[in-house]
Amino acid sequence: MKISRILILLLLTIPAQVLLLKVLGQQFYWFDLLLLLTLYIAFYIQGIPLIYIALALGIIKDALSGGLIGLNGFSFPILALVCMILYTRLKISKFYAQFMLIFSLSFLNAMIITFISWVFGIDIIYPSILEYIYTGLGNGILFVILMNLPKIFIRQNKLTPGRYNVR
Amino acid sequence: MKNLYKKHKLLFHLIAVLLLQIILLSLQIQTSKNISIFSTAVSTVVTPIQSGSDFTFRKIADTWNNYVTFRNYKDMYWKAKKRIYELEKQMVLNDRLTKRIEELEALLKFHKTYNFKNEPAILTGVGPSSQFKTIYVNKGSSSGIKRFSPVINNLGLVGIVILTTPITSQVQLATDANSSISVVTGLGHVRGVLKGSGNDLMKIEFVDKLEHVRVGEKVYTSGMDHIYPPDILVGTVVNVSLDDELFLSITVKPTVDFAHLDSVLILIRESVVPEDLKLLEGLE
Repeated sequence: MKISRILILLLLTIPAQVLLLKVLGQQFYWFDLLLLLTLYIAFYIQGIPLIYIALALGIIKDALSGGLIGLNGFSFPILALVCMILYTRLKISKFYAQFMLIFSLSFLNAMIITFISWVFGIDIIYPSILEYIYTGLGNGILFVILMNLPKIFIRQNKLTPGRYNVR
Repeated sequence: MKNLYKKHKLLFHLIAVLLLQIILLSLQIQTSKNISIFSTAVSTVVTPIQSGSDFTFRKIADTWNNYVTFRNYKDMYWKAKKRIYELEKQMVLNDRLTKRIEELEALLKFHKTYNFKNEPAILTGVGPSSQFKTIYVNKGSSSGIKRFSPVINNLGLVGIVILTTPITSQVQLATDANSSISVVTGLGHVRGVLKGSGNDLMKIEFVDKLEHVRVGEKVYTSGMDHIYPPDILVGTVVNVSLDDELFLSITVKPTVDFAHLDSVLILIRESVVPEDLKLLEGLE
């Protein structure tokens, strides 16, 4: 995956995230597009670059959220690395497997942020387990849709671009 | 180290990134007391370890202190024991001194009450006869000793001066066969005449058989004979029996140990009452 592609995706993701929250309301923070982008990148980039890309995305999210810089900057590299390992080891390709992976990592992200907030004594409203689940579900569903929508689109139009060539 | 870095390059970078984020967070966040959150976080992690270490070290320190205290107490115990021993010794000495002071006070009181001058004397010899109990002392007429001066020591009555020379005096002991002393018993206040028997015991004569005299009673001089001042301890009743139909036979053991006499006090009457003088002349 090229840097340019990542940058394009990033440029798309940031306004999408902001608009999504604006349209749906701020209570719908279950959809974390920057997290999904990070995990998506983790499917294709491995090693040290992944860590720094995840770090950058995390810091961007922190900057956008108006909160403290470092919360997502801390969690995103971990999640990216876990995602990379699981994806490469388990050869995840099925929808439900992808969903489960994203669901778990979203859940893990929420837990890491909660833990860091607790350790640093940051005054946040700690989410309940139910909210963790909602976030995981939202992210999982959205990721599966976004991940596989191009494939479906390409199949229907008989296109074979790059990696998504199913033959 | 280089190999380790190469082997775990990814992990190193991840840790570096995470640490960077932690530092970043701690730099941003301040608590209400302006304490760095990083410090707070570190404290949160470190405090239990610190508490555990503190607890352990405190326990060790307490144990050590207890041991040292115990050792100190042990030393203190032995010092205290030694001190107690010394104090007990001192107490015995004090008792002796107190007794001695009491004796001297009694003698002083005696001197003030009866207007007697005291002349201490040391025993120089003992009379040769076994029937006549006499001793010689180193004070005579040159020291103001007169005939019929009572002689006492710290235990009680010794006797009376019967002969004086310029430098010595002969003292008739209370146990002498010729000795007669007007006495009174301590409890029943029974009066009588104490006579020597020539041995270590004395007898009280002319006590009515109806009188109650008990064994163990103290016997004092009564002062009725105008020779001996009253209330000088003479001896203790050791036996009471019926002598005949009229009088009791009372045996008295002297309080003074005549066998171990060393020093005595001769009582010199400063002003002789005419009645006494007549009596003394009669005795002569």
